Amino acid sequence: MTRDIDQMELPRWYDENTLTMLVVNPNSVFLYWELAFGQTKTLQERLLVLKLYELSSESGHESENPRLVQSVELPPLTNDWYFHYLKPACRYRAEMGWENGHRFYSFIKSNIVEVPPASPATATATALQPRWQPVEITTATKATTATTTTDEQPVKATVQELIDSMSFYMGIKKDDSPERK
Amino acid sequence: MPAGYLALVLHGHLPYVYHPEQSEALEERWLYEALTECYLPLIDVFQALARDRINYRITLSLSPTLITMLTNELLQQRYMEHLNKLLALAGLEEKRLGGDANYGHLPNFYMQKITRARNLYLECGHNPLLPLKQLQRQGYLEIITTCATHGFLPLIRSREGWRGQVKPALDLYTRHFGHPPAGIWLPECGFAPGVDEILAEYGIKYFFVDQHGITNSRPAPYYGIYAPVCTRPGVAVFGRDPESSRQVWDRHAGYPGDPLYREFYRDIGYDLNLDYVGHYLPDGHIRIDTGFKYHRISGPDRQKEPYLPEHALERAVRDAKDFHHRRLEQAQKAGRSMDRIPMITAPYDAELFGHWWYEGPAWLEFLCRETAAGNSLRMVTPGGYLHEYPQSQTVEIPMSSWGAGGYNQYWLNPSTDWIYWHLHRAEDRMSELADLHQVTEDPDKRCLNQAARELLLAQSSDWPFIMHSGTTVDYAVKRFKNHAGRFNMLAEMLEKNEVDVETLTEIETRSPFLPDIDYQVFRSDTAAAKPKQQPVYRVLILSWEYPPKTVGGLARHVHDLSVALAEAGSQVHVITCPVAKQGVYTLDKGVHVHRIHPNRLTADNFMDWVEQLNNGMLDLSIKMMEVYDKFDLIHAHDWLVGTAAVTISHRCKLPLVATIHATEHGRNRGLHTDLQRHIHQLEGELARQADLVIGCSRYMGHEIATLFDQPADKIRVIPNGVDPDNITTGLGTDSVERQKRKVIVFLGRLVSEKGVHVLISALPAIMEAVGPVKLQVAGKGPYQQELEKLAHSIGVSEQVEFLGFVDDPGRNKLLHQATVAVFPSIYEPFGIVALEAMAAGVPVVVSDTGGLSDVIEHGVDGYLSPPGDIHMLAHYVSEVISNTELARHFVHRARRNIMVKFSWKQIAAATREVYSEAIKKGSLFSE
Repeated sequence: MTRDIDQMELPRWYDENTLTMLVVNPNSVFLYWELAFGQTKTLQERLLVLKLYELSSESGHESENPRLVQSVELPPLTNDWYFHYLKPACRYRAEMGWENGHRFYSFIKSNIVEVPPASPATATATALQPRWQPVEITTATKATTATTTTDEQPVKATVQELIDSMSFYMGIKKDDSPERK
Repeated sequence: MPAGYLALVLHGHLPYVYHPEQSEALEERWLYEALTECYLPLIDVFQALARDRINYRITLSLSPTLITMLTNELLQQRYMEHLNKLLALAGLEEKRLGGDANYGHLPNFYMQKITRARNLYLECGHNPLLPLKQLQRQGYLEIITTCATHGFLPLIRSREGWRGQVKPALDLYTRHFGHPPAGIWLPECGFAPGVDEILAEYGIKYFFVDQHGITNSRPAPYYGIYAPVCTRPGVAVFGRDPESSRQVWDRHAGYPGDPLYREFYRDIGYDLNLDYVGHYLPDGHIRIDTGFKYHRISGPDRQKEPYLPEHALERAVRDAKDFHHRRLEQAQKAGRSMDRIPMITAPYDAELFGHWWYEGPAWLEFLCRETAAGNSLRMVTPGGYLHEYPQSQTVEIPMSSWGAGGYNQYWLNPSTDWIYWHLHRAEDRMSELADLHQVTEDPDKRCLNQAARELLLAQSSDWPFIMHSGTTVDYAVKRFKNHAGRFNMLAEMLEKNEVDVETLTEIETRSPFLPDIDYQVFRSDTAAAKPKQQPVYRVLILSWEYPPKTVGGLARHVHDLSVALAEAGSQVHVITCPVAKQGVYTLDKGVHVHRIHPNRLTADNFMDWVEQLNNGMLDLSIKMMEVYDKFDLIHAHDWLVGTAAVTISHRCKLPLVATIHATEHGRNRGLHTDLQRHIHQLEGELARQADLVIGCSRYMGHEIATLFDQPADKIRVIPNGVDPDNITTGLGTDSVERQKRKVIVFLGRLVSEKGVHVLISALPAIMEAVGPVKLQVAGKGPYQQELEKLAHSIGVSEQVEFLGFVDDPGRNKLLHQATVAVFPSIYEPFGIVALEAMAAGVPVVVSDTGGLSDVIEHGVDGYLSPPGDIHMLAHYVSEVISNTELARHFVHRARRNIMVKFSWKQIAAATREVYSEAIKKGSLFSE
């Protein structure tokens, strides 16, 4: 190794596929990306498009009906981008791809970021009963405990039905084979 | 009773500017100037107040880089040389200005100041930490620390990265002060949600954010910034008071801008001839501050007038009184609507006092005296306030910082944004290296530790700060590149297994920072990175099936989890159904397995059978508690064991954690029969009664919350795990060659929600794109005929092979030969098969739905295709088949993600976290 450790230079590529989004402030995000050589080959000379989506605020439903906020055709040789004028306190994700006809062929998605709120909580949110907790130990108001309900209608079903329904757990294969080794 | 509390917080930090390779480094002067003008004068003030028995409280944060430099021998020696030079210059100046009517008093003034600093420095044996420690012991100071290299946390990507910034800092503090700090100063007050969890892990009690970090939190804080709030993991948060800040910070309206105070921007280093002053400047000619400043700020548009120290001091007295008066008024006003004594948090950079605001230390001294003289405003430390008021309101703190604009833009903007790609890449690489090297010896160990140091040094918020502020940019860029570059160099040596000791040693001597650092803090396996001293939990797990009885995947899940928990030191007892040829008790891989006696389960009717099962579990658990002592917690898996779990929990006052693997509603896309409605009800009951509920994906977490109307903060998401060893069983030693022909594989039950019809429909387009392929469908189900018909009707029946049910070795063989595995589900709560394929090294294309969306990072370790979209599925499958280089990337990343996110070790650690949370919750409830 003869590189001068006081005059280091940084690599121009790592040969990785990455599309990373960072929060700048409640109204802006920054994205940088690198496309692996294998990825670049598949793209040839296509015009790349970067799309920013606002996601459903419900965790676990990110993929459902994202709202397209902005779509930009990337100038050649860009490897980062800023989106401004965004709505605060929302979750965003970007996708990169190319378009053909009406279709968008997305080949990479970014991480999801949540930009912070730009203002205090609204009155409705404040109306909630404040919760308190000591610093040393975590506590939280215990959910009100309902007593076990016992007045249900008896349901007719056989053990076999039960066994049949079990295969649904975890959604995997071994459905029709009760005892396996 | 005072009307208010005032918490003054001084944050001392300098970047790591240690250049043993140069005889005179310009940047090391930052440390010398701060010592002469800030740190030593502040210590002088603190000691004087203590001598006079003034009852003051100040919180002082010392950064690990500063602590390291203050205690570095070479720097101590160089500082002494620097002081001697300053004294010589003062002597020279006395001669030069001796008789000057306007400036004659100033050289002697500086001579005294420098002598005072030098005496103090000698008194403490060159180590300013010693008097500070003493002051902390006496109760005047509360000393805390900040992140290892002042890394700006909102722009560090991973939790491992956060841990890397936090833990070594706490260790260094503990090494110097003998105990861990109570609180932490987040660099630049930079907070991002989740940081609090890491702080809680390490026992940190409090941190600070800027005002809007508190006022914009959810829900709105009851006391505003006049009392701390608390985040869910139990860390208190203090908010900066903007008025206190403005009065001290503001360039125009703030105290330091007063015309009587000393002008910072006139220095003899710039003003005098080089022939004269050059000897005291770097390289004899670089114009730089010497600290000899002879003017007062003076009025606008006026000639700078001579500095008059006595007048400036009088002004400092007046300003201290003013500050005191305003804080008191503010506290009185705030207190009117509060049922506790309001607290004002006033944090400042320590280097402001004495350096930029020369009279700052004096002002501070007068403020302490003024406050102690009255009773209405009292000084407090955050620890002291929390001691008086342990209860704080629980809120969620949003991302924020105290930088210009209030968020991340000071460190992330067009002049600095290029650094983050390199930083994040290094962060990820560091974790990967730490994961791969769990046991090491030198020189690898040294190399890993140095890589960790270089990564941390590259992360300093100072570099982007300087780049953006526009002064000494070249230095910041060079430092960043050197640290990031050295990291890359070390990482490469480790990856190639060619550690060059000579280079390593050279790098080590450049940055002998954090001598005790342990790179393992970067491991993604959180159990290893976390503090060791954890109580042993005795856990009772209820599950209707457990190996060797495996009907669905539940048995395997409970088994792998139990074994991993037992391996990590928990005592695990499982109660489950009887199974042929197994007694009522077995000890299996450290797990105590208890089985209900077969003659207790006699019913033919489903509900009766479930009741018998639950009664059996209840009776058995009571017997077990007589024999084995009480448990700390019950963990129930799915509704089948719900009644027993809830009853035991109530009867024995034990906290209850429930994992809901799938819901009846989700499985059936609604509730259509009485049985389904009944099961739904039991699921809801279990979810309601449990202290915490675990779901296997964010999608499932959400489903549980909405179906059973449970608050989101009661639900934890822990993915299912996969054991890579399982994927290789049955393959033998001669590994099967991946076939030359292109094989698409699907594994799963043949029901419409698995979406196999979408895949079959996509075959013609796939073949058009990549040529002949084979689709192997493993699994059975009611939908098979339909699928066969479909294949026939679109002319691909030749290409589709229905293999029926396959066992584990069969599955492994299939995966091993596959070109791509496709899981085109329409509904999928988790999707363990996708993990198994990833573990087997097969590139995957899955539906962008449910749990699958969590498992795959689109374009990084596989593709997510819109559910039901034949065209796009064909596109993605063809891409993976035809582009082997990209497929290899996916496989590499997927393997890594499996190891990081879906290892049982990791899942057991996360589950244990949930246990400890539930136990805390439970213990408070029962008090």
